[in-house]
Amino acid sequence: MHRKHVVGLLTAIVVLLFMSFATHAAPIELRFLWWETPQRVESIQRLIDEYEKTHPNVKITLESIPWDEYWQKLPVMIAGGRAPDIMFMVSGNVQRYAEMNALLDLREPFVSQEVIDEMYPPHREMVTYEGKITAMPFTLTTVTPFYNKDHAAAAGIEPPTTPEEAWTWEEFKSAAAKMKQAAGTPYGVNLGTRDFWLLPYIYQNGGAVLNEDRTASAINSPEAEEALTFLQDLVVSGIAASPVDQTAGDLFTAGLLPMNIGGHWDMARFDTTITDFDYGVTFFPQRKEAGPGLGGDFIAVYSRTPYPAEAADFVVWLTSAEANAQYITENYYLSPRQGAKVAYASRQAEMDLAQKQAEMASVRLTVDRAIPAWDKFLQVMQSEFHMVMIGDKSAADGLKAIETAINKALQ
Amino acid sequence: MNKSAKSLSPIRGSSWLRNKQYTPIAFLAPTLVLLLTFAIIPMFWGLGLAFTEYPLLQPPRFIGLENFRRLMDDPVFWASLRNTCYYIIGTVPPRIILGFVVALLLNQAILGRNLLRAMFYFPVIAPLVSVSLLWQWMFNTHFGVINSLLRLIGLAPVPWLTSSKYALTAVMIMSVWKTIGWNMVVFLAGLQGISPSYYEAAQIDGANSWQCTRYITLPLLRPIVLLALVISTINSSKVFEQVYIMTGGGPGYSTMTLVQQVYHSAFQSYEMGYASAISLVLFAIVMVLSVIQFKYLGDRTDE
Repeated sequence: MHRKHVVGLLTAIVVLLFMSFATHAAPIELRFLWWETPQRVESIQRLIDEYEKTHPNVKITLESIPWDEYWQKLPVMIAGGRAPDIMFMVSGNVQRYAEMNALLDLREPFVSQEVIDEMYPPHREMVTYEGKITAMPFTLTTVTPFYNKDHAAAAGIEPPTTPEEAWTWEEFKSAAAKMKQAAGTPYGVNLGTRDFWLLPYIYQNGGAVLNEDRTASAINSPEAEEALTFLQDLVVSGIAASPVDQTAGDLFTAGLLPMNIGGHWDMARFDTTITDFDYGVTFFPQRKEAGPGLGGDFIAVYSRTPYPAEAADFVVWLTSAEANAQYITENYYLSPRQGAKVAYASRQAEMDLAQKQAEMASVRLTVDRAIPAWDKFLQVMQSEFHMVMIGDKSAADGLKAIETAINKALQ
Repeated sequence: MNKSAKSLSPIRGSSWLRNKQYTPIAFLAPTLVLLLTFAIIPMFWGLGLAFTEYPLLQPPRFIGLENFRRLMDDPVFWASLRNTCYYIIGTVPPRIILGFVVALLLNQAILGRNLLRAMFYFPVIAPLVSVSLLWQWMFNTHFGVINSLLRLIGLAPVPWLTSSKYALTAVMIMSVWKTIGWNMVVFLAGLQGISPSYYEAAQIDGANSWQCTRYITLPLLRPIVLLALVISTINSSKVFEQVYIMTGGGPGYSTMTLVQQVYHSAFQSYEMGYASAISLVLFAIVMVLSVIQFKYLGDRTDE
């Protein structure tokens, strides 16, 4: 062999070896920012480990931050040049971060149109910003009323098990009052604190927070006033816990509250905290229209990540039917894919009921809560709801104050 | 002589460092750099942000006095300002008075004095988040220990944290409990610095214990009172954690304070400019209060 060829061959071998060594020595590192309980962190870490096995060139570091600090740290990290490559979002924040150009457009080549079509329509609308797909739905959530079976039996009440049997507002109030009396508990029900739990009463009564094109407030309406007056009546009469009583949810797990309107994901916590009684799940009380909205967790890629293809690939894998199902079943979430049949290890009947509840959800409430300006008036809206509910203010005055705050935020 | 001294100098060949004028600066430099980086520059940066619209993920945009004009129309800001003032008035005097009384009592030779001092100081070192959660349960309307005690003495239970009438008072009670120990330690240090000869002389002249306290202890403790007053006022104006945990600022806005509103504006609404404007108002309030306190207590101390 010619000497020149030998030298060339050796050089090529050295370069290839070096490249191979370099690839092995320095896999791409992706930072994934997330909140959640230790159990859910374990679930997601298992999925990451699984992905890394088939993608040795990618190393994903999970950074878990408690929920309360997440929304402080994420924007500060982004502004400080330490943005994660992949991040968790909730329904209300996707559009807001998309508006601030912080989320990568995940349309083709990353996410196929087929996958986009599988999303629940309100979810699809939530992640679509100026035609771009800015996040991938990971879980679907809705409001779930829980009841203590012993308290219900003591009151001679059989909570509804089909949507057709769902309590009317009056029946719901009467059932809560009866259970309170029979169980000798301080309240009959905990209605919840935040907008996700309180707004359904307004929407199912024909009211709404925003007008049809979401450009101005529509909350100051007779329908909303009637709904808030109903909630006020429940709290002031002592049937429902005060919405500001932050210990009310714990009373249910302690067996000191007959009904708690929470979320199906609470069952992961109930599995370990409720040992003295059994609980059931029923439908949210009904009125004229669909009530609760949909929420959920979403996964997004930072728009200026140096590894958009790798980050998007992981997000697509994590939100694929197979990987997604593992997380959902372990943590009592609903599938964000239309028509998906999920087999839960336990509490299948309760999750089936929650699924039916989600299918009846208010699209308008779901999509209204996703507007970027929502958090700018959320504090005023919740505070006014609370003041009305504890009887410090009339529903009319509360709604007027909320209307002013919404219109200012939307200007 | 000079030559040998020069040769013994550990800083050879550095005439700048040997210059006495620069030596203090060299020693202070690390602290000054830290102070400048983490306090002075951010303070001026915050001052500048108050005149901008800054959604954090996009660059700040100068909007002049718009944030301050908005403050004037914001009912939540006025509620927060009012609550912060109530909180300062409701917590600073009890902290000082109770801290002083406890210090006076525990300055006497009584049985278990060290144990009692440790017990009073314990809340100061207990994590604020944990004690806030504990007090949240203690104030629970139906199951709290405080209402149980009230029932025992024949009083009606009070909806401490769920009524806008009582929520701020409940937070104040917890905050005073948490900080009495700190004031106690400050006053104890002051009390132990007063020479017993003053009291002996006064007793020979026929002064009773009230007169000793009124005419010896209090005047000599004035610098300590000023210190405790200024620090307690600053700390009270910055109240946040206990409100965040125990009430979340509610019911309604009844426990919303200025720092709580800064937090909401900055990290929920992402309105950093507006949050900076509120911080500036808070800064002005604390500054004015501190100047007043120095003027009325500091001047007399110098006399």
